[in-house]
Amino acid sequence: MKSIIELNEDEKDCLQELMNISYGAATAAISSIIGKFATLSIPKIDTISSSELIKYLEEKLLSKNKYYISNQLINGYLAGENIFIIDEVSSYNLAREFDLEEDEINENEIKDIILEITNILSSATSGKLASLVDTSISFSAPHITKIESIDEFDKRFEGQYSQVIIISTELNFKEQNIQGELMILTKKESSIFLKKALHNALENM
Amino acid sequence: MTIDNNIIFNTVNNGIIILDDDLNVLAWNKWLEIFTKVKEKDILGKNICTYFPYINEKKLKRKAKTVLVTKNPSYLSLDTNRYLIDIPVSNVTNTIYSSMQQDITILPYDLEKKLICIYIYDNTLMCEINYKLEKANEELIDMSHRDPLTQIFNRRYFAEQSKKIKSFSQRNNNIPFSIITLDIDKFKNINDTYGHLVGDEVIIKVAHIIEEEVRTSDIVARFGGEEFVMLLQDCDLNNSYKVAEKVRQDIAKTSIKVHIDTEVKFTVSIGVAQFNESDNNNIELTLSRADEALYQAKNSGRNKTIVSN
Repeated sequence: MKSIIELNEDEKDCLQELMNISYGAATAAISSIIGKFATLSIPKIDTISSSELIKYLEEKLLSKNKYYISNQLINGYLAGENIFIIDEVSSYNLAREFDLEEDEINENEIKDIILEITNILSSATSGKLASLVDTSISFSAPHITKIESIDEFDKRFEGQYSQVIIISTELNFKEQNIQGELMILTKKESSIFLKKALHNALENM
Repeated sequence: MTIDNNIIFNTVNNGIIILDDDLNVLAWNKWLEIFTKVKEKDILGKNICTYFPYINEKKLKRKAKTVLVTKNPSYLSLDTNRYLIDIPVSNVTNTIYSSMQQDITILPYDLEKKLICIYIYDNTLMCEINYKLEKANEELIDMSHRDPLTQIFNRRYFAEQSKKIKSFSQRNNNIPFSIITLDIDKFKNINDTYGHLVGDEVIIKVAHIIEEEVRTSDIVARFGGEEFVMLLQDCDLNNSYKVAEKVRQDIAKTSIKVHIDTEVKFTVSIGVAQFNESDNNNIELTLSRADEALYQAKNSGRNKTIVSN
């Protein structure tokens, strides 16, 4: 898969390292909120163009039936959008880890928890990148939908963004693994800032 | 503990609440006093979930903890929560919602003292506009999916749905599904003899009979003229043949009264094909096979059902 703005090997390594740190912070926050020990597998990072996003999601939807997709707008120099995608089974398991009893788990509660996780991961990752270029960003309230076919996916993503950074990871609790992917969709101008952020990080390493 | 109120706090056009980590109210702005009719002096120091018992305490505590741990805002989305505090809508222009639709932002206010701040935004008008737009959009989509004469689905909708049904089948151990094509025999003669209005009545009657014989999960579409197509989910060739035969026989028994002493009778020819490996993952090929079977039925005397093997 080819991205519009190519990252060289050093930049990719740097992005990987930054996301490791960000996800570490996010995991610590999640552990603290729910009072349970959780670990996160080392995130796998890939970059694609937004035109390839639909194809990527289409392939995912073939392997499993239903996914929740939450999205959150990022405002400021790193303007863009974060998308968190998680399958139905992982979502249910996540709700259980948030100490919801069987009779408390319903569609709205599951969605609420996914929105919370999206918010935590968004602020940890995008917030980290923003701090490296000494800029402030803010987030809009996240929204969530459940889809079972790529036709239900909002196609506006295709034309709006130039690049997609996919961060795949597994959130591991004592008894279960929860798989989810965070996608950071950046506009062309924000991609330039992203490169700058990575250069600043490389200089300080 | 006292919180200094100021001009902004009491003139801003949204609700502001400051809570400690046990969810006790430490500040309640003028906007909330006006809309909830609860005075700040009456609620200060009280637990907000005790005062408003419908608030989910477990969820709000989790949110409070999240903002204090992450030092970032958290939200109660309108997707899942219509409001935090139930405020009846008094605006006369509102016709849909009885309660104010609220966007809620929760922020860390004082990390050391573990205080959080809640902003309540009135989003009712926007929700109402969105609701009406969504409804109008749904109606437009529905209209674009239907054949105006019979009100059954059209070819475009059939094409969209058949792809989904194919994907569903492939994800679920290739659950069988079949396509039935149906054409009214000698329809031109009906039009020429009795006129287009009677022809239209025949088409509508056939559409209704087909709809009565299939399940709601099946798709029935008019492909144009006197041609109809059915897609039967979770249905193999044998069962599809039975459905097709029932439709054919029911139509053959039907007639339309055009005068006191004149009834028009009509028949249909039908082709049936089940989606299988030979179709190379292309549902159009299944449709072609059903069409070929239909033409065999036409060429071998009409009023018949032929299956494609």
